[in-house]
Amino acid sequence: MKSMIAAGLAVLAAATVSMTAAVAETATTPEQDRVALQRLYAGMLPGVKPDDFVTGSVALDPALRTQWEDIMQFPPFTFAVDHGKDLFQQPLADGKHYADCFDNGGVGIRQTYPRFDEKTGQVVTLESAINACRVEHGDKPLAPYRGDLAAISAYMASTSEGKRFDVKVPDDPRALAAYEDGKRVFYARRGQLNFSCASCHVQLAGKHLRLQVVSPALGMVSQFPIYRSTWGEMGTLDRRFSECFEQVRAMPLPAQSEEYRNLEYFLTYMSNGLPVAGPGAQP
Amino acid sequence: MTISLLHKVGGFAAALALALALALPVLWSPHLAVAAEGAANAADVAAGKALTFDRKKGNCLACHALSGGTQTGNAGPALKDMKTRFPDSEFLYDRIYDEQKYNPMTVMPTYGKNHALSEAEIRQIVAYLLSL
Repeated sequence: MKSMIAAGLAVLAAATVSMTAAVAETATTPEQDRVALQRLYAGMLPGVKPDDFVTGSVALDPALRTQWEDIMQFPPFTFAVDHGKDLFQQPLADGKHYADCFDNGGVGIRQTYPRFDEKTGQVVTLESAINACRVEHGDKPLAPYRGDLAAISAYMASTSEGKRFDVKVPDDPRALAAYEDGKRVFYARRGQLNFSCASCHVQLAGKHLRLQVVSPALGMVSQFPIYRSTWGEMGTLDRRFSECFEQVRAMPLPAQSEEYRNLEYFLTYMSNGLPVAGPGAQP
Repeated sequence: MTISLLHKVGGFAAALALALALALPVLWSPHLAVAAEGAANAADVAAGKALTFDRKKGNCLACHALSGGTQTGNAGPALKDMKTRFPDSEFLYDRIYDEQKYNPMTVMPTYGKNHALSEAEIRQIVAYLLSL
């Protein structure tokens, strides 16, 4: 009897150890997450070439593709890029320029954002870096959703044409925590309709909601800032985040809030290796 | 005397029972009850249809194909043969109230649990869906 109990305890102990090991194994690295997600979409949407994911739902629907090709004959973001270039070259309040705030004078660097800032321990998006640059040199920050901020961001993205996303999660527990938080925001259900970002953009990618084709999360950030026909103008990624939150009847978070920045960090890391396609246009 | 009283009472009881048996179908006509229920159900079906199609209420067509619906989505299964698929209307009610209880991964809104629809509204939608 005693030996039976001992044997039972040994089995229990072994089970506990193996369970602990299993829990440890489920914590994945950002790189494992990225490979897994890209593999998932390759299986779900086998007709889409990897680089075509940057065009969103356009890559999934021939009719949308035709509309998009028509739009791209005279890209509606051209004015924003020209205006953004003018703004970018104008001096800030103290005579410094945007170029002074960025690596390589701000040219060809879009694919490296968002970045983790070791000094503040925070994720820095391109838009938050543009506004931080303005504040540092005596100007007021720009409104987050549209207008001049979208224009400057559009111009900077245009100088990264052909480059591929290369976002880093450095070996710093705070960076990993920011990435994990972004992942949590992406997969957490919210709002009266009880959707997570992943409910639609992973589980329903390629399906129709009414006539809308749901876009995959992979490559989603690549075209931002973007001209959306439903907006009739340019908008930033934050504008789209807030719109999505409203669509699931959740309270949008403040633009450039920590959670939005972390979400962008996670999403852009997932698109590492895909080309920058911003500014973009969506039918 | 006792016997004849008993006999009388028994006869009265028998007569009463017979009278009731004859009167009951007239007093509680199953036809009348069905007609009343049918009218209530028709009203529920009509209200349920409006809620099902309303983009601010059920908006069921966003995901489900439905006879008579245009521009329907395909994220969920088509809503047809509902009486065969859901012989128990309470089960259908429950699925609309909180589908996550049955499928934790579902993308269907938990309409009742999250107060996107009232219990009465879900009952009306159930009445409509079971008419499909």
